[in-house]
Amino acid sequence: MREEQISTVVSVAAVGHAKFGKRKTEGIRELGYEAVSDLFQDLNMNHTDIDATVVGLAADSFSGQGAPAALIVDEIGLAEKPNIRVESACATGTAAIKTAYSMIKGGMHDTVLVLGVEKMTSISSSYATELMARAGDLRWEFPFGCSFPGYYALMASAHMDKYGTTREMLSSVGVKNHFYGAKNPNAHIQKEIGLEEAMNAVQIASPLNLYDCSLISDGAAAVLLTKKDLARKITDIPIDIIGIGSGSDTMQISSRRSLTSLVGTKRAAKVAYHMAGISSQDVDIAEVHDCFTIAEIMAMEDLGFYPPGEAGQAILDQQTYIGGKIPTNIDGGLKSKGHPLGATGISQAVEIFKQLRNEGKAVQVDGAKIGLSHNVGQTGQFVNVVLYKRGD
Amino acid sequence: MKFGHVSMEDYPRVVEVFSENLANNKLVGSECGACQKKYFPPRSSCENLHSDMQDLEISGAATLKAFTIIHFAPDSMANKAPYVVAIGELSDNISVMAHLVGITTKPKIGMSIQLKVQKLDEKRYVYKYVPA
Ligand SMILES: [Zn+2]
Repeated sequence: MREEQISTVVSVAAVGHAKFGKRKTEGIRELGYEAVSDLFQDLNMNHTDIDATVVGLAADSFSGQGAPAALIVDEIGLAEKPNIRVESACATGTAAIKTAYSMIKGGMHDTVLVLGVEKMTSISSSYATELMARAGDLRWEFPFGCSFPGYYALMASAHMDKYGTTREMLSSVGVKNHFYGAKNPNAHIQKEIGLEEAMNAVQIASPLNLYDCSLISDGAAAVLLTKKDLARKITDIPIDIIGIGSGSDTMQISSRRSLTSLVGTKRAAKVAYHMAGISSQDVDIAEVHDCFTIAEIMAMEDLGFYPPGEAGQAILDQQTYIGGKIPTNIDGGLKSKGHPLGATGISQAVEIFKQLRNEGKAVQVDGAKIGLSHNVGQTGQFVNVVLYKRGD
Repeated sequence: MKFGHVSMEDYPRVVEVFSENLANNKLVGSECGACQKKYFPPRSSCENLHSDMQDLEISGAATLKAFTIIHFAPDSMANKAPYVVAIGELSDNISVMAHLVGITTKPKIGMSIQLKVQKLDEKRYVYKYVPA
């Protein structure tokens, strides 16, 4: 690598976000369009000035469209730009960001549009459950009908047994994320929920109930990545990517030594913190992958914010609200904002971008300088941790 | 011979043979002849890129590591819900997912369970846990 490339800082110069939710009247092309037009609105550059696109879309089976990435970029007039599609299950969004980052760092392209899209609600939720269950090992896990919530429920049962994590702690995650989701105009469900209500919701895969599960949503989100000196021409406050780490784990959940943490998260975090030269204590705001309430509890432990077994109590004690130790998922998280697979990791970047630029309006962490995004594919087979820093 | 409550794959040879063994009431995994790594259920080759796999019959004695009661099942299993999916730890660092059946009270993590052959119909077998 040339010296210039090693010292290249890659920044987020602009962001865009489509409304997450049940978008009955829009397909993947309209959703992608919505996020990209939001990004380029009021920007002093045209979308055709980018050098390449990276599209994250996790599952063709939900929308039915093959080669969806080609369709989406064509819809936004970028059919002539180099395009690549990335997939890492629910961690697809951050995998797309990592891909674009590497392209810029490697000198391949200067300015890359990263777009995550997913259309999930055109099929029934029981068929969606079926499709997601097929992402377990088809040969040795699927034949037992373990649903996707079932996998996290297995981890929850082990976590509750080992650390005494309670029903109330699990539900307090959902209560917090709905508290913030209610304030986010892009959120799928903009409604607060009570602890009592959350604790007594209908069982899905015990110990997890309906309010422990994230939403099946349609949506899209986009970020514009470029070299920092170019970013400065677009904005006064670029947000720098200062660390990216990835980790993985076994395909079969039964092959894992521990069911009370995701080793992929630990590995990813270690690499990202090292690359950025910081520790978890330097992080001002976190966006973690709360596909299920237990997942947020484990994430807060695996990312080093709390010792193993202590995050549940901390969340119940409201330490992860604004004003607490580490504000987490203050855009509503996957639980309330929604979880359109390919868009999720990019949506995390969008929220962090706004927070670090003090653009959160009613929901703002004062003086936030460093943000962490944690994005998990499946049950930890793909994990990316991305660290962002205000770069003005 | 078919394997599982439901199945998606066409039957590769390793599953075919495994299911035949289940029909003979045997739980047969595999052991690598080169590095002695043990697998259950079986694999056609070792993760250390060895291909000399031998049969390994296991006893099925296990400890309950984790469990969930699936209430809202995938489409293909909807008619069987609710059912208990469990992970049990056998010997030799082998852990296996299977249904846990025959329980009268709420399962307790750490309890002794036993992996057993379950016949679903003349042509379809699976394994299950029962309390030991
Ligand atoms: Zn071997």
